[in-house]
Amino acid sequence: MAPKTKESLDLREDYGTKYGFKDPEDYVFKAKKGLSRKIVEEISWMKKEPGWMTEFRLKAYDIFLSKPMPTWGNCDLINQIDFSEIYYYLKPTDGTAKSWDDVPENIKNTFEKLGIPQAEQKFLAGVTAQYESEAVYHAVNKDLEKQGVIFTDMDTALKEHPKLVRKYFSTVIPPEDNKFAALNSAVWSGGSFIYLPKNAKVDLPLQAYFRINAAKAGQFERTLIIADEGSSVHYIEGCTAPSISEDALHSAVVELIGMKGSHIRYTTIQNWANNVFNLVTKRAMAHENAFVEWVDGNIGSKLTMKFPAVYLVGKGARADILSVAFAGKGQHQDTGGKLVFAAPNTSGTIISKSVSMDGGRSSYRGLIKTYPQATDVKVNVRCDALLLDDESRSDTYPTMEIDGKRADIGHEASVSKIGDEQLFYLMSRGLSENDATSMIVNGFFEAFTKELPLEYSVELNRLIQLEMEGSIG
Amino acid sequence: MTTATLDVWREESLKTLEKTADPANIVETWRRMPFQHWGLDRFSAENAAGPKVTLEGGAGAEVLTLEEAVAAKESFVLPTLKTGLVSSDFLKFESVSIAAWSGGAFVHVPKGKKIEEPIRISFEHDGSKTFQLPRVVVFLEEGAEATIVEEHLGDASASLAFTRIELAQNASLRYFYTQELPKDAVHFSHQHVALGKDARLDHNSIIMGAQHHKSELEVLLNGRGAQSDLRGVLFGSEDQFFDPHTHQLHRASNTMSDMHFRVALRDKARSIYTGLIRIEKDAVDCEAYQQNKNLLLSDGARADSTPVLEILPDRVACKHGSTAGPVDKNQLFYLAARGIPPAEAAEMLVMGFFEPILERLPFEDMRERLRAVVAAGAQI
Repeated sequence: MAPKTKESLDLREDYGTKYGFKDPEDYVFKAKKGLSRKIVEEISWMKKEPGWMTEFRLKAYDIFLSKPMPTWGNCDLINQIDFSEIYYYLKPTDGTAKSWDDVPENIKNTFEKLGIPQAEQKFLAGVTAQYESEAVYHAVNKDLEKQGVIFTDMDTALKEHPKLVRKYFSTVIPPEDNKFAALNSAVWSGGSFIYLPKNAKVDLPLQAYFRINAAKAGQFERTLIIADEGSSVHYIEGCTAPSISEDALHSAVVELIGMKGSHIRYTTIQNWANNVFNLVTKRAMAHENAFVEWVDGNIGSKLTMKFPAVYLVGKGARADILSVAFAGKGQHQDTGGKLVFAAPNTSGTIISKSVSMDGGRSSYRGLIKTYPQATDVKVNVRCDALLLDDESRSDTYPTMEIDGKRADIGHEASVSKIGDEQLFYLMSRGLSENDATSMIVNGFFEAFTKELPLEYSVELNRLIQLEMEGSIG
Repeated sequence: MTTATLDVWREESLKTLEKTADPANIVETWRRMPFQHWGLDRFSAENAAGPKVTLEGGAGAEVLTLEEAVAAKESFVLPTLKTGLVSSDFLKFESVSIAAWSGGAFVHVPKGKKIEEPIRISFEHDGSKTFQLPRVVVFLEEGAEATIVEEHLGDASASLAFTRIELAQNASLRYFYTQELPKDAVHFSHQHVALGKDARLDHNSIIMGAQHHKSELEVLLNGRGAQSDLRGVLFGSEDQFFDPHTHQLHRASNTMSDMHFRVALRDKARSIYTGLIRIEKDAVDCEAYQQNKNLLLSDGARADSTPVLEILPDRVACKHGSTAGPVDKNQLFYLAARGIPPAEAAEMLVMGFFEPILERLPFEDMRERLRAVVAAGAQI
């Protein structure tokens, strides 16, 4: 193998052309740097929130202060976060725009670069775009409204559907869960709220896009999806940020509630710039015969710690987690999934695929837990890791806690490099080493990409290509 | 048994023990099995004693009690007390052991010597003292070969056993560690094996006894071409609680390691197996394998499994697998179709789960004794 061309390995350069543009900061309101009780109160006041939410935020703030930083994972990196250097709330426009024409020009440019309106015109059912902390554009297809589906941003939901929000908000992930969930609970802003009434079926995916623009900004969106009995929905989120030299923090909380017989699929393509700390808590409750899927792709960020979870609390519930990570130069993708079985006849699978290159590190971290009442559980976990060079690293940290006799649990993992025979075979058919490697990596990820809508899968393949360009050969 | 140097070390260790705080229960090592089970706050040198040591076999090798070995070759034996502790989580245990160990064994096989007769180190724990602190030191010189059994039996107490093994180039060791203490004992075992170039280790753990059992088996593949093969079986019943750890640490190229750990649990017994394969950056072309199987024979039994991989170089082939579940219904059906009732069939399957390791034991009486323990436990 020829020596690598170091210049071409600067991923941020490529990222810069496509996603790394930065708009001039132009905010209606920008909270002071750092976090204090006063800032939490101010955020709530700015948003004209009901009293219970202000109290909830303040309580969460106290919990955030009392919780220690995690003592596991990449502690060196997490401890670099300086909570006093972050802007916790930035308000880019006055209110949410209903139609694309009402969105301010600079923000429109941003999303046009990201291709959002075009995507919507083509086939998307609804779009929420979150720019910094607030959702700025959002449209819901007529058909959804007819079915009684609510798809809006979280702040609007709190105003327009206060009862629903109050009933379900924070019931899946309480602020006590972990330090970053507490932080999000204290300063959250934006995110999506989806409510599907009984038997509502949304055939086209609902989409949201999140973007950080300001330096040292924090983005703390809060997403809540409630799928009532027999309903089904596919939700897709994507995220980007410009390449700013100072680190930014993204700490979201995502709660899914799948009632009896419902189906939720939640897809994430995380493509933050390489200076974003991405520390996200995602958890779903799957009730009787519900089916919850997390499809989680992690390409960007400096450090991602994200382990989407499903608690199977109803008989016959099912869960699939598909997690894909690509760790390049200076990145640590600490990802995986958790399945907690608390009811009989439940089943689940976790498939994890990771590629590490250019000194990147990817870790699979997972949990399978069964409680005694969860009889006849079936679980399968499969983790595959590819290491593309000897500067990179791959870890597997699975934990299985099996309490109960009638469980059938399997876990398998492998770590390898691209086989010389595979490369040789492709090169003997006229492919360059670079193309052959790309092809093998894309093939490795196929289980993931085939689960995505077409243009996302094209996008992902292109992103992988971008990340790998010129890295070999 | 003591010498001037040892006295100083014992003093120092007592001080370290006093200075060191108990590890916090949020530390992963102690999260599920609290450190307090060992009751080290009650420790004093007066209520510690070695187990009764019986040594047999090993014609041609130097087989001594550790006390004899310290007297005969202090400068060679003493440093082994301080080798091999990589984790500060066990600093207090190590300090207690150095401060007050007694009862131990020493095996030394000279260069090129192949010892045919298996060596048996039998520790009979003494219930009249609160703490039992045995130690084993094994050194195989270049090209030497031996088979060693370390067995723990006897009365209930809190025991901390430390084993230090060094295998020089091309040396080959087959080692058995068996733990059959009463079900009200608490036991900790720390075994550290360092392998030189092309050395080979075949290690077998048989874990059946004690109320609380915690073990650390660290295998360091330090020399190019070293190979290790680790096997473990664990059988638990009633409210026994086991916390076995294995570490396959690849620190040189072309090293190979394999690990199979089998657990069967009934009643309210619990096991939390943790295994680590770590391949260091400079260790290329390594192969590592790790498999943990858990058989749950009762509704109340609980098995946790955390097989961890940390892989730094790219030229590796590494796999691991872990399963947990009840006795395979298809196998029961197959045996039922041949007229074997389910209870008997389950017993046969459990015996079959353990037999590959039990049959390797070099002493007939141990094989029979352990088979009887498994057979009695497998009746449901």
